[in-house]
Amino acid sequence: MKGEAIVILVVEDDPAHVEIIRRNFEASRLANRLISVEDGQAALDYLNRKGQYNDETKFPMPNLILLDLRLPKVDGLEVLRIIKLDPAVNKIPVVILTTSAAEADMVKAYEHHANSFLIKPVDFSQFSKLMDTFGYYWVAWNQYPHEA
Amino acid sequence: MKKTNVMEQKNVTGKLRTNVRSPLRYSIGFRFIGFVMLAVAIAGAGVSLVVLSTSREHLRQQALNDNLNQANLAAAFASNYIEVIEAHVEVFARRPDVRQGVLNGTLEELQTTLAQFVQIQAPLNGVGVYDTNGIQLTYSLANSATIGQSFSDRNWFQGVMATGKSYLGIPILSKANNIPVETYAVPILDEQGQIRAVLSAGISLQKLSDALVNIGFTSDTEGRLVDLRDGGLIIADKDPLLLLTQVTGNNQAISSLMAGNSGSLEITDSAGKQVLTGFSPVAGLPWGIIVVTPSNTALAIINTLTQRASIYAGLIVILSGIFGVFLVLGIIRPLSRLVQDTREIGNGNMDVKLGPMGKDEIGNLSRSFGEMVVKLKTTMVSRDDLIKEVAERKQAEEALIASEARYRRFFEAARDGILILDVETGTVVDVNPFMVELLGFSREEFLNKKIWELGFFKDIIANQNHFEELKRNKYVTYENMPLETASGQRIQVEFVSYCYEVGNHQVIQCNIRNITERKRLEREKEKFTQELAEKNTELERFTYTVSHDLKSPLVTVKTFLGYLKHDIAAADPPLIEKDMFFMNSAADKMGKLLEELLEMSRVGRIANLPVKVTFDELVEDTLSITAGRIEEKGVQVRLHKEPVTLFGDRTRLVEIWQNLVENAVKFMGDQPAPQIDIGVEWRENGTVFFVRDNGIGIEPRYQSKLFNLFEKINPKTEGTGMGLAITKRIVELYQGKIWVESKGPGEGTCFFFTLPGALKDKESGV
Repeated sequence: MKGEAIVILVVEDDPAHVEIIRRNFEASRLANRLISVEDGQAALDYLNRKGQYNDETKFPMPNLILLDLRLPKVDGLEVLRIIKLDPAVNKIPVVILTTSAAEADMVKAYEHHANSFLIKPVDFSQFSKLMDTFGYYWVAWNQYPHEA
Repeated sequence: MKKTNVMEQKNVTGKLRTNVRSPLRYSIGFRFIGFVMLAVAIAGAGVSLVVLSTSREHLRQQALNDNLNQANLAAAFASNYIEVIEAHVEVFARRPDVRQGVLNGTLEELQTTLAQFVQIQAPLNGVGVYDTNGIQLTYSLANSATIGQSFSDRNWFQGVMATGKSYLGIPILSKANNIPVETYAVPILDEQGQIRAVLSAGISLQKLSDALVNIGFTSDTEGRLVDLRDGGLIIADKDPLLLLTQVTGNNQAISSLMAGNSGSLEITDSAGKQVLTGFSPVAGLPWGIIVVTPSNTALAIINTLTQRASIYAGLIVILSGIFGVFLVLGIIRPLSRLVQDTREIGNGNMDVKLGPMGKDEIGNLSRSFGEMVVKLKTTMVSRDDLIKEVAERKQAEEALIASEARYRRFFEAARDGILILDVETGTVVDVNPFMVELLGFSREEFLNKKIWELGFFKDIIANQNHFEELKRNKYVTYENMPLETASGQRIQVEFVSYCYEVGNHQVIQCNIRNITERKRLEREKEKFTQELAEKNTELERFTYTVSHDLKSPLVTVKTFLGYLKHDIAAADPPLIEKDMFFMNSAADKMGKLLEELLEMSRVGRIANLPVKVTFDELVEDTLSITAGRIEEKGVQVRLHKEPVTLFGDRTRLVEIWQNLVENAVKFMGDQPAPQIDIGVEWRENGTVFFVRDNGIGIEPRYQSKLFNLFEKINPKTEGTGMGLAITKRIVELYQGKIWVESKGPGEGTCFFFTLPGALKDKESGV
């Protein structure tokens, strides 16, 4: 996997939060590619290569999915459930990144086989630190199957 | 044959007779003689005790008289004895040589004279001469140490000086030999009769005492000489320790003596002993004699006799008592046992075993009684059985009546309809009041009809075949069966039938319970439970959504503030501008969210007074508010007027249509001929309002999310996603429902809603 760019799909409806994630990854200079979609339906379409997402070079299969829970059209938990039920994509690690600290959400996310659950910190430095750590762990250290 | 019978009869009688006659020693007569003898013995003992008691009294009187005589005798003796010596001393004091010696003061010669006088008069202890101041001038004993000493405090001196006459002093104990001494003092006078000196003579009472104390017939009798002055002083007694001691105790003999009496008394002495006394005053002297004999000594003989007689009498009484008890018990015991047995038998216990029978008259009585009981018993047994049987029958009958009454009441009062059917024929035998009430048919309409002929049972027992089934199955239940009452009302019932035997006859009992109300309540409960669950879910979602959607812009603001610092330091204007943009839009979003949340909470909380308003008026209000946007998009609005009058908060009601119209305008898309229809439909379960557009439509799978708080199907559209949530809330305030129908993208959308709470006739507000 070394040398190869790791593709991360960010499912996030708030453009500001997408911008924050992007800036953090750029700052940590990790070899990766960040693609964002803004609702649950778009995420599912992307993974199924539907509609505008049928161009494989432009929209490669992600190695990792960063998923928000509050999403328009199809809810984040529903997206997670569908991904984990689909043998074509269920090996892609899904990391939940949400502002909700609700226990019920966390329980449901893990029930649907989320790989990790992170809460967006309100503090800037905390958010930066979280993204740094996240980057090192998931990009530098985590190993991914070839056929994802 | 007849002869033999007579013989046997005789034999039986003879045997009985020997039983009746009892030996002499067991007869009650013999016992009676025993009693008489006992009584004589006790009486004899009593008489001898009385005789002894009389003799004792006599002896006592005798002893008292003896003592009195002794006392009189002793008193006379004492009186003479002292008088003689006193006379000698008087004479001596008047002798011229004695007088001259005193007057001339020739004391040495006087001393010699005194000594000679004492020698002659044996009872005298000593004689002294004293001047008028009580100073001893001389004494019969030569060179006595007492010469020159003052004796002015002596009672004899004071007695003489006070009276001018001779004086007998109170006896004292002589220091020399410890015997009582009596002082007799005499004045010595001059020619003019003036007292010039006092002569005192000490008289020893030893001899007098010796004579007195041994007085009396018995060794226990003793005499006692008492000086009666100052409460009585013992001056002669056998016991030297008592000499010159005060007489103690409440001594009646002394009191009597002091009053000048003589006599005899039985008293209790100071030691607490009974004593017999005789007493007598001594003539011419302040003295008395008491002769004392202890009562028990004086009466010793009689006391011993009485004691023995008492013991014998006691023994006789005790022995008689014991013997008497045995004699009495011998009669009482079997009698009381017989009485007890008779009482038992009287109470109906024929199995009593008669107590042990003696050989006396009572034993015979018991035996005869026993034979009688045996005969009685045989007649009683058959009678008892009869009584018992009658009682049992009566009891069973009463139990049956009580049971019948109990079950009749149960049948009459039951809150289930009950029918009793004859198994053979299927006819109604009985029907309870509740069944009549439940179905509204009279009792007569039920009775003697076949069950399948009763029209209202057609759904349960339609024909005879069904009835045969009831018979076969013994126990049948149908739940939730429909029944039609006399008034044509349909009710839900539970039907239970049992088949059982009564006597030798089979009956079927059918219970019918009205479960219409129960079913209705069950449905209602189910509905409420579901509604509650829905509300709970909604509330949960609301809380979660609010926290998430409000936190999200906060994260943006805080984070970009961090970047801003960074970018200002790096002096990167394009980035700074970008940071500011994100922060601005996040802040705007937050402001709008809070505003709409406030609005949301106002719905239902703040209400205007409910007013009557027509559907047409509401739509007119709506169109005037939304006119700007409608024109902007060039939408054509078609109003389907209907005569509907609503009652409620006019502003809120307008808000429903306003939100729906604005929503329709917003999602019109690229429709070249945009159009909105507003109208009313009359459906089976009420009035339904609708707002229909021919806009972009909505995919069926998103339709359920549509009314959620902050829900936006397309993130790019303006607004916070609260418009439809607020609309739903207002509709629910009027107990209404809102739903959306759309065939999919490009097919247009239609919102339907009901407002039952605003359509009610009564003036119910919001």
